[in-house]
Amino acid sequence: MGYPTSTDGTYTIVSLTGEVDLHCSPEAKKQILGLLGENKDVLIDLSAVEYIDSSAIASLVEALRMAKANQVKFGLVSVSTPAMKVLQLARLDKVFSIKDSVSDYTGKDG
Amino acid sequence: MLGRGKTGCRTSTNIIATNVLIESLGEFRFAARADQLKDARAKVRKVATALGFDKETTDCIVFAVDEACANIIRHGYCEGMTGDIILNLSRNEHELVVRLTDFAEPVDVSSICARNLDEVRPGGLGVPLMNEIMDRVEYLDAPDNVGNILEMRKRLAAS
Repeated sequence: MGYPTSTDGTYTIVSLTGEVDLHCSPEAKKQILGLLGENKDVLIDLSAVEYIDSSAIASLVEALRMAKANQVKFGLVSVSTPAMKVLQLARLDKVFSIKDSVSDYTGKDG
Repeated sequence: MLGRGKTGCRTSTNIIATNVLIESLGEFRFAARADQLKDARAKVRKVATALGFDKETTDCIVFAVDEACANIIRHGYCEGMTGDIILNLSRNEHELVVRLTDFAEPVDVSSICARNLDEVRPGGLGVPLMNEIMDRVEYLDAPDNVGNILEMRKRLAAS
């Protein structure tokens, strides 16, 4: 079982949901790195994340590195309050590209 | 870097340590597996909320305890080892006291370094974030040198 994905333009959007902890983050990591490995532009929707731990955050950092190495786009979208708090604690809120909506990346309205 | 403090003295109901009466708020023993962490977080959240911590602080305390448990699962009971974690929650006049006991190989405390959070790299976030969130984080001497006891303290809101 993977996290839901959708596409918008060149982007593949992975929607992480619920409590993304040590139990769930390996699946999220596998899915995200798999898409980046296919040289896809990837956005991670964090709007429905109720809890996120450092293993999941580490996966996002690894994904960011991979995206840079593969020269594809990677960003975070609609970061929930709990997820933003952890990103801020880890001083990573300025490291990732973070936008309010997918359209902020694609340039499309709505 | 984490420190190793003095041996704690535990009883089933109350703990007397350094002349401060500690009220037990519950103990939860669970298998050191990732699928158990959700329940452990719920226990910590319930206690922290009941003690009057605001939501943001409660979220942080829950996060710190979850990270500590995850470290035990990943680094303590590693390479297919199995075992339990005992989550003990108590309070004294001024602090919430969280103790995590495991039965894995004793940790070499000197090898645990909190990385600089300004470095951007995957991994190693748990210990510095635990240190940032909690007022005190230290390893206590485990009885008979079996396993590890990690103690974390957080000042109560009204203290």
